[in-house]
Amino acid sequence: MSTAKSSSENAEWFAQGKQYWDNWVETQRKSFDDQAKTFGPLQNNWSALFKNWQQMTSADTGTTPGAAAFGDMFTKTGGSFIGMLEQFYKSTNQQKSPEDAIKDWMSGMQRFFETALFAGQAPQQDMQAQFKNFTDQFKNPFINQSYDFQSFQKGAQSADPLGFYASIPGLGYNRETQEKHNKLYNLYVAYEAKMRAYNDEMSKVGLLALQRFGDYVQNPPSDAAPLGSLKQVYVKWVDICEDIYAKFAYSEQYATVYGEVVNALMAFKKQLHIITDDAAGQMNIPTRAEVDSLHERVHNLRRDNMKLRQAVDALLKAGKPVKNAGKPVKLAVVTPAPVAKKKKKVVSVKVVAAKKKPVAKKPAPKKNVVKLVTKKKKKK
Amino acid sequence: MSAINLHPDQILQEIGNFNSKLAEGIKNLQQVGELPAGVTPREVVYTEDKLTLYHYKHPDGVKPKNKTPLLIVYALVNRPYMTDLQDGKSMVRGLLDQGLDVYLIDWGYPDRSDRFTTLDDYINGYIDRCVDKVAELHGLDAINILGICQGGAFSLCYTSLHTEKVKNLVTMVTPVDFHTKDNMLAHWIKNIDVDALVDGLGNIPGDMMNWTFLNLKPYKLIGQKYIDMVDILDNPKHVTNFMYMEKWIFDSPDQAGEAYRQFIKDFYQANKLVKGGINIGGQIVDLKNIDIPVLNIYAQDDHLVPPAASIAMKKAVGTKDYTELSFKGGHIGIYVSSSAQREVPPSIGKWLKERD
Repeated sequence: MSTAKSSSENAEWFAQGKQYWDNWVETQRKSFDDQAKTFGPLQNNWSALFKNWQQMTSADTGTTPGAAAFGDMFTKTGGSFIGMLEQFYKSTNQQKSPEDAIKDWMSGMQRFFETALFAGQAPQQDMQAQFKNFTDQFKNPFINQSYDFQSFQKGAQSADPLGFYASIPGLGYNRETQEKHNKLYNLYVAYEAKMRAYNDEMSKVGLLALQRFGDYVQNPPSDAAPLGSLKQVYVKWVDICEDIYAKFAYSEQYATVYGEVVNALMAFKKQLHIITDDAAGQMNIPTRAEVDSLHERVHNLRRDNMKLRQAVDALLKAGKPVKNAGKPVKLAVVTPAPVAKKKKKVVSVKVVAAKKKPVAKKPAPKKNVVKLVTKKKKKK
Repeated sequence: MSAINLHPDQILQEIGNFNSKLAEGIKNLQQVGELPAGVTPREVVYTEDKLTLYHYKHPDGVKPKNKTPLLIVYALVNRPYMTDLQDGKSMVRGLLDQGLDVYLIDWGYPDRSDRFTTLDDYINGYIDRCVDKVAELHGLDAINILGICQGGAFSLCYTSLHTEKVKNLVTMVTPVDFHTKDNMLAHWIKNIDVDALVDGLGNIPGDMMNWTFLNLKPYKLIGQKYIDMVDILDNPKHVTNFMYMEKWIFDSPDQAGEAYRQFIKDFYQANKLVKGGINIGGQIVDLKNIDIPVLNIYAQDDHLVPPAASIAMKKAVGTKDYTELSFKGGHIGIYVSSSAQREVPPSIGKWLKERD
């Protein structure tokens, strides 16, 4: 009876929920329609659509690593196109020519990248997001509560901007704890420095792309068709960005800065785990290290068990009678050696890998190469 | 000649159209609803831990023609329903139509209790037991394997260690030489301290893997793709197709820490699949041991597994019966594009039929 009742309550709850979202969607749609007629604020449309969409479709964007970063980046990358649309819209209203509008847009972009370079910030969220994904993990509520990472992030450097206290060795009763915290601080500072170096390189990529785009606008290749829409301008900009980015991403310099920033972050995170485990221990709850240790033991036991089962199956298939068949059989595993006080009847099973036949040298194989080629569809 | 040919009235028109499509799009997005993870009817024939072995049911009127069944071994990265994404975009369905009996390993979603699962567990454990199960169901000693991407690399290792259990091997978009010049992933990872990564994270988050893949072409995959999406927002069918793909792309299981550690170190950083020295459960993988027929299918525009990385298989394997298929498309298009539906399953079906 209670099940039937809760089932009907659920149905009612879902119906109410659906009605709510139907109304919400309808309101949004009307609002967008109105804005479409009057060329209203596109940027708001874009961010409203996707922010609300993500909130509707993802219940845990606040805690899933990367989800928040993706949301930010998503809105901003879409926003970069819409920013361009708005720039052109404004310029059109000011009776400026499209060429002047392009110049205005490029000047704005240049200011943006240069400011980012001098401030040591990432100009493109899509680049930074990959690493923000790592840092998002610190937003895990458990870590926040147990270690208060955000306070650390905000307060540590203002309290000890030059790392003076963090460079002093620990003394006395709290020596070990202090050493751990000092190390954490220094690892965080090291990570920030590597992140800044990475972001600086990415800002340079942005400036280079802008320069290349400017060259294209001023001196287009003789065989290039004129860009006939804002979308085409945007796609050309993206193509140039990808081209510049790919060259950089294949360079040794990129592999170095990328490796350094990831390694620095992992070193910091590892130290953070040590401190988090200390805090968990003090709260009398299992630590990650303890749980990992148990998982490893269970896993190894399971592997041994699987191998023994396979060996027993093989013996049974081969028709060899097993001693004490029908009764529980104790199996001795060679490693680790069991400490047996009393002599017990055991069936020792040795797992031997199937021997491979030696591979004789073969004459150069005759190999077929077949090319499947798909005809490209002609664009209408 | 001017690079840009824009007129103020045209700009206003374009902005208006964009806004209208956004407005219309929200209605179509709402109507997409929940999308299935795979569309072809199937049955579970074996489970172990988080792994499920599926057997696909034949469509009415189609009976298996080949006596040897085909086991699909997908990558640990992303989910295997890419091979059966939606009606009309299903490689599995194409293979069934060829008269093949098709099985597929679904690895599931590893969690922290799987952190210590190694490549040995995957290759000599899970894959081996699935092969045994399929062989047992058909009363055979050896079956056909179709390895995809990382699953292709696993299938190569498995075949080299258990040649007697594999009758024919098909690989799709499978990397063999990880150090070709155009392999951006390998280039990025060469300076990464993988031990620190695994020790720091335990399992490798699927979201992190996704970010890495998206950042291979960030401006297109994170930016332009969604601007392009606005163009199709007023078409419910196109919106649904887009969302099928979007669901799959971001459905990313975490990677078991220990398996990831060895895969990155041995395959990506040390390139041992071609150089030799991969140790799986105490046995050394030697691709020259593979003396059964091999069909290697690669995609010409693959930005994740460059063609050169895959073509290297030709010299690495020991078989005399090696066939290569070059598909004009990308890493994903090889499963879902209409040309892939027309070309890839029939080619596999024909090749296997000749060797059944």
